[in-house]
Amino acid sequence: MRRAGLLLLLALLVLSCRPSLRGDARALSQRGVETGTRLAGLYDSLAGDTVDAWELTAFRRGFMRLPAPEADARASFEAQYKALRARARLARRMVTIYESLGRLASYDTADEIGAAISGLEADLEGVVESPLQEAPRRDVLDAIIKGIASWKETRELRSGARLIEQTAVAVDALFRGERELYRDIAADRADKYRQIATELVQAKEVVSSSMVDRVLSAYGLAWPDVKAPFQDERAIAGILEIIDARSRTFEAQSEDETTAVSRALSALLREHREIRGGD
Amino acid sequence: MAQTDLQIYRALRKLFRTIDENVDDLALHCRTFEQSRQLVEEWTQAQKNYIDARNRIFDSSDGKVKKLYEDLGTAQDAVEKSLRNLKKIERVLDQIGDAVRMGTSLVALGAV
Repeated sequence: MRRAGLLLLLALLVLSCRPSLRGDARALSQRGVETGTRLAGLYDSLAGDTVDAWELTAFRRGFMRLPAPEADARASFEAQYKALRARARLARRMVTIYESLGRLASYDTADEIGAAISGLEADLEGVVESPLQEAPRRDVLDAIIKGIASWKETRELRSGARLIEQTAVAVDALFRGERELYRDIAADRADKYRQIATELVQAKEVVSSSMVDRVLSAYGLAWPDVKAPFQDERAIAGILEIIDARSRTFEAQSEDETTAVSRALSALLREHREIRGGD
Repeated sequence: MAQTDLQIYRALRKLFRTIDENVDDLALHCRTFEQSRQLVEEWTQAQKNYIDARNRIFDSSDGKVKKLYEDLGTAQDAVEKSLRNLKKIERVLDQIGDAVRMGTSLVALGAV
């Protein structure tokens, strides 16, 4: 009867822990680190775009020989830069916490208890007059204690993941709420590149045959003098079309990265929900 | 973010981009320094208004960003605490061991 009770306790302990939880938590940690790193990279990139847009605006003004304005937009650009840097810091903190979750999931509690179990064994051997029909078996107690440790670990992992999930949901909401702004910042920078390239070509200031050389070289042909700016209006028109087409590709690449981050955040929340589903 | 803030932002974005795309042509048509000065002031102000409108939306979330940053710090502490708790498993196991030994002794004494 007593032995049956002991085995029942053991069974309950074993059933109460989910062996895959540690693996799931490690996977969640990995995804969280990757997502946070990617998010931080996007914010850093947008902060860089902000600086670019400011500098290139100044270049354009100078190139067009326009006078300096009485009050420039530096303060506005700086405020935008600071807002993006704050978000990048938030994303990096997110990386740190998922790294911690990973350490928590990787900590092998069961291995740590080996020594303690050996001590217990000695104590149990000291119990001489056991009413059990057979002497207490080490493997039974070993399993019980490992079960208890695993159960405790499971609780800790779940509570850790739950805590992080709340903030991950908020970071995702922030990202979605501001996504249009991110797209605009990247587009503004791409616009500046395109406008400056276009204006330089139109001004016949550009020395570049590389855009057409790849076409010509396929037929063994070459632009006659690579050091001379484009003068021919048809060549200029063609180059402007290439600039326009490429600028759309740059914008699409930026949009792709924003979409990828958005998907990564969704996948992260999905993994959180899956772990929570095991509660 | 408030819908009106977003609508204002979009309107200012459209205005700035229209000016920005045409500022080179406009600059070429300026005949006097005063016209050039006026153009650059309008262009700069349009850009400033556009970025300021975006910053207003960022600002509306800044409190949230700050709180999230702090919340993540709290969560970080909790996770680290959990980790420390796990590292003290020997102590937890000692307590478990005491309880098990007591139970075993009781069994041995036939008290249960």
